Amino acid sequence: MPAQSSADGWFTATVERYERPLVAYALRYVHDLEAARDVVQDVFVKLHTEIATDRDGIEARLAQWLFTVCRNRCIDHQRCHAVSRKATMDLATQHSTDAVAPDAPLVQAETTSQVLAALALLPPRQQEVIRLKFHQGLSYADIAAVTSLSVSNVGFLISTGLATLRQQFAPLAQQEGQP
Amino acid sequence: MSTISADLLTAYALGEASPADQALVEQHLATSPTARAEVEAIRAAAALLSSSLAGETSPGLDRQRRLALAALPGAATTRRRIAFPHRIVWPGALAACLVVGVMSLSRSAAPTNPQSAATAMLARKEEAPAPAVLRDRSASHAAPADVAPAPVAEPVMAMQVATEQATAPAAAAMPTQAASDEPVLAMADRQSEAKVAKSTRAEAEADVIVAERLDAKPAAPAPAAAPLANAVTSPAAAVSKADTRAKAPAGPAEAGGAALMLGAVTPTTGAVSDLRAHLAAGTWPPPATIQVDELLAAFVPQQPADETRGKDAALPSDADRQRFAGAVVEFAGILRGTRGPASLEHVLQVATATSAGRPERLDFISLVRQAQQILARPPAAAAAPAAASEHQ
Repeated sequence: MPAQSSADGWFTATVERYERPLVAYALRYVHDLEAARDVVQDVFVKLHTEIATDRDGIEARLAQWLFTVCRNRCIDHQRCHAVSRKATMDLATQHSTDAVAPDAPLVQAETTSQVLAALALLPPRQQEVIRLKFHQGLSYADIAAVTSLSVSNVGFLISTGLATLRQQFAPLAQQEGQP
Repeated sequence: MSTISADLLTAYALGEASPADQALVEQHLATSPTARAEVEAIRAAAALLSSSLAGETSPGLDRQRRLALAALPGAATTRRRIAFPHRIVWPGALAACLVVGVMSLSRSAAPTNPQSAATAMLARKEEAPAPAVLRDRSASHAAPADVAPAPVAEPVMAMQVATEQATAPAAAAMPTQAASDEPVLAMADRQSEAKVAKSTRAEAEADVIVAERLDAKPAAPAPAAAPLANAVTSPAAAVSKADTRAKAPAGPAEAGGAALMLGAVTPTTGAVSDLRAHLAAGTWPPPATIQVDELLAAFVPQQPADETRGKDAALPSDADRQRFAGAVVEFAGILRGTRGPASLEHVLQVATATSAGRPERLDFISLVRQAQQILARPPAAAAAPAAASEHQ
């Protein structure tokens, strides 16, 4: 119940924990920051409603639930606004190559930028599952639930994407290995 | 020897293999150094990927939406005060302050009652049910032409309330302005969340209205400088700035009492890089990530050393700030008028097409072109002028 959720600040803590990952995730779909924020706000409003009846069930799979709802909302938004997938991914590429934490050390920031740039060259599906796995920490099963793919398909996408990235990472690994 | 697929090896390396598959892979690894090396390589790549993604910045919800969520029934046990951000709400606060600046010019002719204004605004806040606070998408994406002029009273009132309540403590912190009737935003973060939410909600209207005001008054007179200074300065920084001013001897910029407070916002990294991504995408920059002073340092060309400006020669002049503020407002109006994603080039086309008879738009176009040049440089080169203009 909401009252119960308020008792320990669970809802507020959930918003604080997931707002940025969800906005970043939504932004890759909807191509517009304000729209992404609208989507994420909707997700949290739905969460607030749903926990009234099934908080334990949602809490047990919270990240999966949030990203699933967020993705569905984004798809609805895309349908409504006819945002092309290509444009979305073009934007995602720009964001991933530009948005590096400003307080990162220079060398680390450079490596991060190169890694993100390499990631941005992967097919959209591979990018999505890799981000969910290595950024959000979701399991194969969770990612499968979020993306409506099979677990084996998720495994294939991650394996293939990682193999491609490793080819790009090789020079970086050599650089880091040098004194 | 069994054959292990790359997918299975990856799943094992990432801890995703089922117990049966895990046993199978381990049996294979016991006899294959190549496979063991492959597992290590996968884990190393995964670690590099995770650390890189962890270093990626992303904007979150804005204050208004956080407040709306916090207002949901039972969302939080205590209303956590959401501090006025270290970075300013841009350009809404800028626009709203400019509105106040314009209003302050005619204040003697049309005095307001701040107490009644505050009461009315708080009453409206109390009356508003929680869902009504949720953002109106149609409004958030509305073109400037869709915004009726009528709501001008909201930002003006909101800022006037902040002004009246902030005047006393601000005057104590800034004795040079004690006798001034200028609005001071420095203590605005001490206002209630209701006021903050209200002024934030008024952003869309405010910058359109200010754009119209700027059209009418392209060259703002001197008294408008103080609200402009407040607009380009975060409240928290303005407080620290007031401390600095109290300790430092009065400089030429303070001579007029209502002079701009130059260079007091501590530049932070990230703002230009944030804007780079959003300008390139033609999207609205996240307000919380914008540092106006850093943008000024990056966008406004460095002034040649001028003995008349003394040690502040490297800092943007008041005229530069006013010009920049006008450009920002123009930029806001044009971007919002494009209804959705628009390239910077498209914004320029719109500005160019509508520049006939509006010389101030030529300034805007010039500034955006400078921005384009700056954004085209490598980040280190773009950051250099910003660092050069830091307050000494």
